[in-house]
Amino acid sequence: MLGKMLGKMQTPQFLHERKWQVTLLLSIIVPAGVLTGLGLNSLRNKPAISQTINLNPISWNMTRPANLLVINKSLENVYADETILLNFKLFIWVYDNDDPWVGDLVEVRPRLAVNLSKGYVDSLTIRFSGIDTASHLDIISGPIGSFLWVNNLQINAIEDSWKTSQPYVAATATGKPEDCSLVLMTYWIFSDKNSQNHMLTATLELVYFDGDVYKKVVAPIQFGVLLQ
Amino acid sequence: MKEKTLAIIIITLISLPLITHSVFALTLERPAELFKIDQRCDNATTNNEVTVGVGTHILRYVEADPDLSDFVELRIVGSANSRQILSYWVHEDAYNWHEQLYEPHELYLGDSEVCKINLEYPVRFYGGPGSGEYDAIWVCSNGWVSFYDANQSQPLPSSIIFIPYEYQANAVVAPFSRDLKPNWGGSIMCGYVFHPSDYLLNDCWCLCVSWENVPDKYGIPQSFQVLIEQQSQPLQTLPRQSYIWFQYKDITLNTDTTVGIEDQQGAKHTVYDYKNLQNQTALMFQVASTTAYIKSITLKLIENEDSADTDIMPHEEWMRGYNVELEYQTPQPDLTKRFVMAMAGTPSLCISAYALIAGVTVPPLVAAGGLLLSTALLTVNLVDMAATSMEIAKLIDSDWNTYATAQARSGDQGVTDAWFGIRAWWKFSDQNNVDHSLKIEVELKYYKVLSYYGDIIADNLSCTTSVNLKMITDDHNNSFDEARDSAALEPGEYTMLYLGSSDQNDTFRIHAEVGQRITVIMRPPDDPNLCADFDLFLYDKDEILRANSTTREVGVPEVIWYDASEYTGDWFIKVHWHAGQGFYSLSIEICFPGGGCPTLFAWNGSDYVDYGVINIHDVENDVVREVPISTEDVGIASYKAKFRLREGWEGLNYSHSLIDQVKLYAVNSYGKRHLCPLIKAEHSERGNVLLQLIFSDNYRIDMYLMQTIDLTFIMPYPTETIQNFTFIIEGHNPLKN
Repeated sequence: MLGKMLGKMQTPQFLHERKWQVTLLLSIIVPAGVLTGLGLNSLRNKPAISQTINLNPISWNMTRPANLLVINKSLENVYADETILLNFKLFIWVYDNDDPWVGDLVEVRPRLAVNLSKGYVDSLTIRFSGIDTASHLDIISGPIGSFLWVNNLQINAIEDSWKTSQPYVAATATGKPEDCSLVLMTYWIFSDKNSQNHMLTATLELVYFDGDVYKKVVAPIQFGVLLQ
Repeated sequence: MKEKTLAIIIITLISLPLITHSVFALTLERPAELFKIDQRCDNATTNNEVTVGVGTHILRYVEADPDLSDFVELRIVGSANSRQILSYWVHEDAYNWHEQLYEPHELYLGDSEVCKINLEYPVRFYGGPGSGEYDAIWVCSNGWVSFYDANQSQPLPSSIIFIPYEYQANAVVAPFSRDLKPNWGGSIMCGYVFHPSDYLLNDCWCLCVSWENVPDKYGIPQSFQVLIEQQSQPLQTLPRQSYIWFQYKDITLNTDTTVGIEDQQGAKHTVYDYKNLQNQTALMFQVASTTAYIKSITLKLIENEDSADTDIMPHEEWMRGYNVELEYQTPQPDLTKRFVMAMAGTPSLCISAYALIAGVTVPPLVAAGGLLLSTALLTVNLVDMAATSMEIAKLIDSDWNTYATAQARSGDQGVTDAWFGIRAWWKFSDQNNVDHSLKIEVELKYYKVLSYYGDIIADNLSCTTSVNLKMITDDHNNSFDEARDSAALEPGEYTMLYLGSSDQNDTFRIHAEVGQRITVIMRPPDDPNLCADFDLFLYDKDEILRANSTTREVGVPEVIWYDASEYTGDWFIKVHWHAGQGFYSLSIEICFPGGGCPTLFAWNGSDYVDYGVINIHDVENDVVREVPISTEDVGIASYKAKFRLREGWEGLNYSHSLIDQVKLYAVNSYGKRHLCPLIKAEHSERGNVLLQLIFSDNYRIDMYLMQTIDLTFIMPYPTETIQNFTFIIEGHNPLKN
């Protein structure tokens, strides 16, 4: 019965007549909507930065050890104003020589702690540069809590130097937080036999909203492992 | 005959290490600071079908990591092979002597010479797809061939091959191994033939090496052939091993001859009694009907403690594998045709030469000819090398805490050799006041197929092996008070005790009776990089110092002895840190001095090095004692090393020991022991006492005060690979005064 009723239903004539127009309209509206949505999303991820605060680089070099050694050195680049307290560290923990699988390595742990008095954290990226051909930066992308610690952040990408020549870690804040933190484990691996200097620059780019505008803090830290 | 008898004795003696244990449990004191532990714990097992090995490298201990607390970093490798199931059988076949060869050429070998022959097509011998496959052989004038391996030096042209025999040549096919003299006449021809068999539908295309009228050492001409099947189709599609035939046209049975085949480790073999050989006959060697292939390797970390946890390093760089599915679908390296090494005894891994490229060096033990191959102790070491050039393994299953599984790679007939390695952290949340234990298990899953058809006849079979690690706390022996509250140490050997700048004292309580002599030897780590300088003290029950040894030299043992004449009761041994760090061992002997005991000396080429008194006190029963010997103290000349036993020491009135057996093991860099045959034992009063000391029996030799026995042992080849020695004595000192 229902089938018969449906069978008898007629498509309105005006639709037949304007079918090509409808199709045309849809072909414009749908992609435009998608693109607009993406654009808005993009706008949300990339807010208009009103001010970029470039911090001076912090730099520290050490002589490459010959044996397993606790370095236990923190390189800190700190910024504070009336809105934000940012502490970006490279924690140089242990140097080990002759790892059976990869050679000499130094454990470098980027650490970040951010506190805002108003506004919220938007996103952050830590970029690693200066990695030469005789070294690799291995960023451990394991389960959170075991090899990676975050608070109020969602990791979007971890690309180490096995995959790209410009390793980076990207994260967005979750829930417009006033504070966030991050600890990464990385191994900076040297394939040379103590025959060249190595330099690594870790640069934090933090985007936050201070209640009025979006601001970006750029905090570089340079770490060198030099010939004995 | 005399030579043969001696050879058999030597082979028997050398075979003994095959049944020596593998280290499958390791207990060590938890350090109090960052320390490169660098200890290994391995195990392997076989069910006679497959072999599975686990190698654990305790890499380092990290104290007070700000993110992880204390932890031990482990490298764990599971290795597997399914070649144990391979078994050749030999039977008679139709005799079809080949006078005419295709592409014939004479080898022009002299007396006891070998030459290399490239094969037209690869041959599989005790192998599987991608392993145990060869494209060249060595032909020896003395009636045998050995499969060529690019990473091995040419085999020694032994006049007679013994099967089984761990030493080279291995991967041997011996149609008629006898001392032959082609330089006296006859010829050794090489070429190809179509060979008919009663057991095959079609003729086989074979490499043929033919000894024609080659005289033996008695001048009697011998004529025989070996034929090795040449498969023109890719071996990847062949589930079985290549066929082998021996043919005998005109041979004599006038002297000992070896007939048979032997695998790459000298462990598996099939021999034929040469006395049953007849002229105008042929033998065929073919593999038995079943083959096994690997499915997966699972590494498991098993512990159940509140204050400990494990994590498997999730990053792909720290997961490596061979012949397992890879994280990235890059092609596996071409690993065909080359056999480099396998584990002797319970063989655990077979891997190609190509896995060892990228600047790594083939271990000398392997390069020496596949002889001194260890048990699973080799596993980690091999993988260390291979991992530098191997691909990243893909996990098919894991929970990151307790297990990780890699699947054997797919895409061809099957996998017979594979390994899978991970990094893991064993984390502790206590304050170094709890003992911890961890079981590391490797499970191999495999299936069985019919060798000639490939049909699966059994699936989801498994074989498992494991090691146990224990990390004990240092909480009980830092002071006299703690030592008083702890159990007294019994005389004996204690190892893997830690001292460092953060843990500077170990104090132990012992019990001695009036009149007993307390002898303590403390051996610090001898690694010069650790700069370990520890001191040794003996205190009485009132904490008054009675003896001490404070040699200000790195890595040098400290020795003290003291006659406990004052009282029966507690004494305290204290080991105090002075510099460096590391694990030391403590040897405690408490005995009545009147009984004496043998003192061991090692001849270093210019002088005897005192290794101290070996406590074998027992009223009537033999006891066995092991003494580790440093290579620096052993002067090797003409592959011989000398030691001396001296009964008692000056100042004693009487001493008497009965020695039943002495043995010396050379320990290679992988921890494998190799027996060094005792060839001379000269008693200062009684002359040659070799026979009394060779065997563990009731045939003993007496040693009285200041008598000596000079011992000479034969070293294994090559001596450069020896890391240290272990001297073993069996006997007793009945405490006569």
